[in-house]
Amino acid sequence: MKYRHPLTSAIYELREDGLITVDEKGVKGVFDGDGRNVSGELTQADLHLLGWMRSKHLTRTNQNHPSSADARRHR
Amino acid sequence: MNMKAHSKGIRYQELIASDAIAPPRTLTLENPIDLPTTTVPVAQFTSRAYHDLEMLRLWPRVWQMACREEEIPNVGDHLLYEVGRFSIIVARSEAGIRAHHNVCLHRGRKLVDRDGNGRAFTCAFHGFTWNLDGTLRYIPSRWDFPDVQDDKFCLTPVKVETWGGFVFINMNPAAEPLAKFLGDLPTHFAVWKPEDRYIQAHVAKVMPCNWKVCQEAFMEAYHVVLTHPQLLPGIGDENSQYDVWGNFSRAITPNGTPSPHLKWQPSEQEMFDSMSDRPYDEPAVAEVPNGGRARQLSAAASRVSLQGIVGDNVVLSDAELADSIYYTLFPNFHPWGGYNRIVYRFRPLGDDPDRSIMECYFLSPFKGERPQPAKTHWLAESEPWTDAPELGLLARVFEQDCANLGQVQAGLHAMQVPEVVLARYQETKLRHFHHLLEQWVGRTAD
Repeated sequence: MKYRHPLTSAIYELREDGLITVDEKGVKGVFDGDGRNVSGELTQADLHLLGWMRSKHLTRTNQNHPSSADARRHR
Repeated sequence: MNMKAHSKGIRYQELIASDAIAPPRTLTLENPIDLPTTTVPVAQFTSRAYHDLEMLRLWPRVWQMACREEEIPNVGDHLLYEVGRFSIIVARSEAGIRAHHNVCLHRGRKLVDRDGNGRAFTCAFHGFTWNLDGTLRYIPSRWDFPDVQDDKFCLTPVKVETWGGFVFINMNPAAEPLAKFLGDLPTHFAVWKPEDRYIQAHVAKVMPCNWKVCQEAFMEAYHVVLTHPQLLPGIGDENSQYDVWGNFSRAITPNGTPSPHLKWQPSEQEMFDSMSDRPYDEPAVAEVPNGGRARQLSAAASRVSLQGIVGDNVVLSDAELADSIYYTLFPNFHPWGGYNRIVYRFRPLGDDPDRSIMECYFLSPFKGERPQPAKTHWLAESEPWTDAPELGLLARVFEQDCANLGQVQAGLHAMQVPEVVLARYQETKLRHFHHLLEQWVGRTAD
């Protein structure tokens, strides 16, 4: 899953492990959903777009979470 | 102060003037007010002394939404509403909805521990019992309380009135009528009929910040450019309109128009893709037809699903279906207008000025028999909003907001200047709120 940042045009790509690769004009970095730089030359990225992608990862991975089942019953 | 300074983007009234289906009259109203409140003392958000003043001057005197009527449909149903140190039982009696302070008059135990149904309220300590209407029912060893007069030993009453299916309470017996406090708010909501909706979802969570810090994050679109950047191609954040009437305020943020902060012009398709959260590498949810508009397509999709529920005689305008229309009734009630389902409520948690309760209801229209209301889904403090999938995409938006809120509260405690400063126009709702708060509570606790 990829997003293009509307202000910087950087490409944010969600990885299977929940980390996010950011490519800003060819300079790349890997970040967690809290904005921490894990690796790469690019050391800063948008905290909130990283959070947006992390939450997508959480949505995918909590399908079997017990509280999700409880919540679905309230629908 | 320059009241004419404004975003370079299109004004909201100009935008809706070009919509294919015109909105109701209330959405064409404008009432910007230049209020004197431009700064707020930091201590209003951080100090125990100011919290104590709120507990003295605000919460025991102001009308506040306690629950929905549908949550207590049968005689004997009762629900606890707690705000700060106050605990109120809201109950359905034979004579209608009644509210009382949730305290046993014998030794002061909280009378009811949780929501439920019963014919009376019996204290779990010694067994003092009151009827649903608050009159005394039973005292164990009655002979041992010769000074107690049955007819004067009623639970301490709390005023109750309703509007739009919401139950409001006021602890002040001399409070003005709810209708007077609401002012024109019911007129604004007359076409949307909140009384004809049901609780499709209700999620609550303890938040690591003052209740005002929390609610103020949901009262303006000024934060969208930084906090929700993914929305920018399809949201007119800086084009929002802000209005004030009496005890309530309103913001309208148009969707299907690009943010003036962008340095490029999105196509109608790109606007729609942003509104529908389309990732860069996935197919579009729908294609905007040639000459069509993103907001029109978004509204049309909602219209298809809603028209069969609300009836063919109800005109569903593009604005009511596509835009974010968010009202605030002082002090803490946030019903959204149009056909958005959102209602927020924020309140202090116990006597801790650094924590609060945030709640999100989805109130949905229905056809036929009223569906059962959803029970409250309490999220643990450590659980993300995404653990409430009934909130859909909104849960992910909340996660972005929550990345700020704890940091705001911590930052306020670390702040070395005495006041925060508010934007003249885009933070109109906050300024209105604090203007009223200072009238009720005072500017400082000194």
